[in-house]
Amino acid sequence: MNVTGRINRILFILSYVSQNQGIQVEDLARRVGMRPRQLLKELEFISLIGKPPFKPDDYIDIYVENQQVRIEFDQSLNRPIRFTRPEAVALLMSLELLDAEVDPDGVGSLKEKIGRAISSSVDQASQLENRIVLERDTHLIGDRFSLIRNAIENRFKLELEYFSLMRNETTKRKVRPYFLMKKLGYWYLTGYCELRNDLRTFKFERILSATRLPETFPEPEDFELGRFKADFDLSTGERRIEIFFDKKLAPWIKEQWGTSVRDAEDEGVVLTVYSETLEFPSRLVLRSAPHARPLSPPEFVEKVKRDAEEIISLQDREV
Amino acid sequence: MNRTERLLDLITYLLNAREPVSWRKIKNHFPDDYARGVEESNQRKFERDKAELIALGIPIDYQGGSEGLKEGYLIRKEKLFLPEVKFSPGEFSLLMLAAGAVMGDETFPYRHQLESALDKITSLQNKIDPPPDEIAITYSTPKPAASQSSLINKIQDSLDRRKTVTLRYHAFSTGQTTERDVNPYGLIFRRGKWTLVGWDHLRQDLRTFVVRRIENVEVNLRRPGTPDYQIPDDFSLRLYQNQQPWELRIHEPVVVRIRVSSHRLNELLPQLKNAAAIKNDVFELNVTNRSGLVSWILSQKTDVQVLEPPDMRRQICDVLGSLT
Repeated sequence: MNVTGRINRILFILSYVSQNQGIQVEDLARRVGMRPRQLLKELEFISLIGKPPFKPDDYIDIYVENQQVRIEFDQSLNRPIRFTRPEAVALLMSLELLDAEVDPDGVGSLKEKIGRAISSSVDQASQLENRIVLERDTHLIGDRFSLIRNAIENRFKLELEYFSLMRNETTKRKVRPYFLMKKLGYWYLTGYCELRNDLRTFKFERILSATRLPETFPEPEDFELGRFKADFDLSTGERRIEIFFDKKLAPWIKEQWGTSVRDAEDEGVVLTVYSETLEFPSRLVLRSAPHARPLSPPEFVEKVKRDAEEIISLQDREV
Repeated sequence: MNRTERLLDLITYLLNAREPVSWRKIKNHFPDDYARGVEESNQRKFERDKAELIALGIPIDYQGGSEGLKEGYLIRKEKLFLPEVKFSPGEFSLLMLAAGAVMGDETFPYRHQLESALDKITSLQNKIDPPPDEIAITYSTPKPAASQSSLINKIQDSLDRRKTVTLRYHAFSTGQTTERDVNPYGLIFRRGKWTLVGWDHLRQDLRTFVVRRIENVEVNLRRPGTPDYQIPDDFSLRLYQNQQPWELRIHEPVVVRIRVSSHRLNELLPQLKNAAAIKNDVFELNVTNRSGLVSWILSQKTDVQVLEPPDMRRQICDVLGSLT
């Protein structure tokens, strides 16, 4: 723990013990996240704070009697347990990242409470909160979020109209909604898709419409939330696809894809991805043209060519 | 005396003082810490301690001597802590969700402060409501580099104290690694990536730096308690937030008119925030980086069509020539 963290903890102990005289060592240790033995050492350290020439009661007298902690000291350090400004700013920042849709009333009132406390004190750090901007995309998830969350809680099936980027098509399907997840700025719904008869994850912004159905579904037996959260990042597909990027894009590709990239001729790189469909890798090549080209398998090379021709015919069209 | 001990002593000393305490008195009180050897390095040490305490939320002010007021350092007790805030069980559960997601990312600045705020909240809460378990939030990429969090902390520290930093930066666009002095103006977090916006002494202009591509940060050690620069009042970090690839300032603005397929509107609208909507599905963009726009249009395949100008349409077809 760094110096700041430790001082913060000590100030907390002082205030907490003086308001809860006689608290059990174990109880206090639990509240500050220390082992009892560690805490006793820390209390010993605290009793040494302050130095001559102080009046005797300027010393902090903290002691343990029958496993109970008591304290006597000058009251200037003793105040109700409250946030310091940086703590309140940190809380506010974490709320800033949380979409209001998760709980429209709750997020709003929390932000207001903490914000009000901050604005009541003015000090040199007053502009702190404007110096760090945390992006929260303004995706339009409003009504849909509470509808879907409500369906998860009450186990109602949903009918989704969904545009799948992976297949480049829009379909209607019944889904048993299990779980909501936000990752790198995007919200996803995971559930059992009755169209594909398997677990599927849907990106919120591609859900064109969502309707709650009257049917309910039983608690899923085969869905392990913990394991699912951990596996979320793994790519799912079986098909091995290779793409070449020239030296202009190589640094970005390396930064983003890390170990899936190997060096190739003329300072370029080859990226290997595993994907269920050819759609996503094709878009990756198109977006990077003319600095990328598909290598394998042959049907992927063919797909990119077809996609490119389709785009050309659209952009070439008279408007 | 170790640092934690000295800082705590300094707090008790200043809190107990009935009037502002002069530098001379502080030195007398802490002879081993602030009155040994060179005066300049003693002052530096005190300034560093003071900065640490201010970061901790303990406001140490300096009161200049005027109109019969005594000159010196003091802690204004009324500024030490914020007014009390109470949370309902539902709000507490929500805070745990919000804060828990941030704590999961080691690169976040203010993580320590968030941790101590949570400690305070949990210690006062009689009943702990866990965060909702049907929702999970993660902000970071799976494995941020270990060095990232210390870089971010250094930048945060320099932002708080307005100290110039010396960066070693690897720019992808040029392939060059250069060392430059930068006055940090702000940090932006976007899709798991941190970006620093600041005044670049070398280029004499505002520049953005992807923190992942910064190889080293040194914060100016001289005069730690005195700011090196001011952030201009008209600077707004929010202008850099949500910046789209075609909005990077590479060339003079070109107006481009596009049409977006209706089934992609909901998804793409947030990226078109600065565009003028001509019709429900037609938008006019102010483009200062053509190749950024071309790349974005290509990744939408046939869902975005360029209406104007014709040479933009030609550019797209040319770029694709190598693939057909």
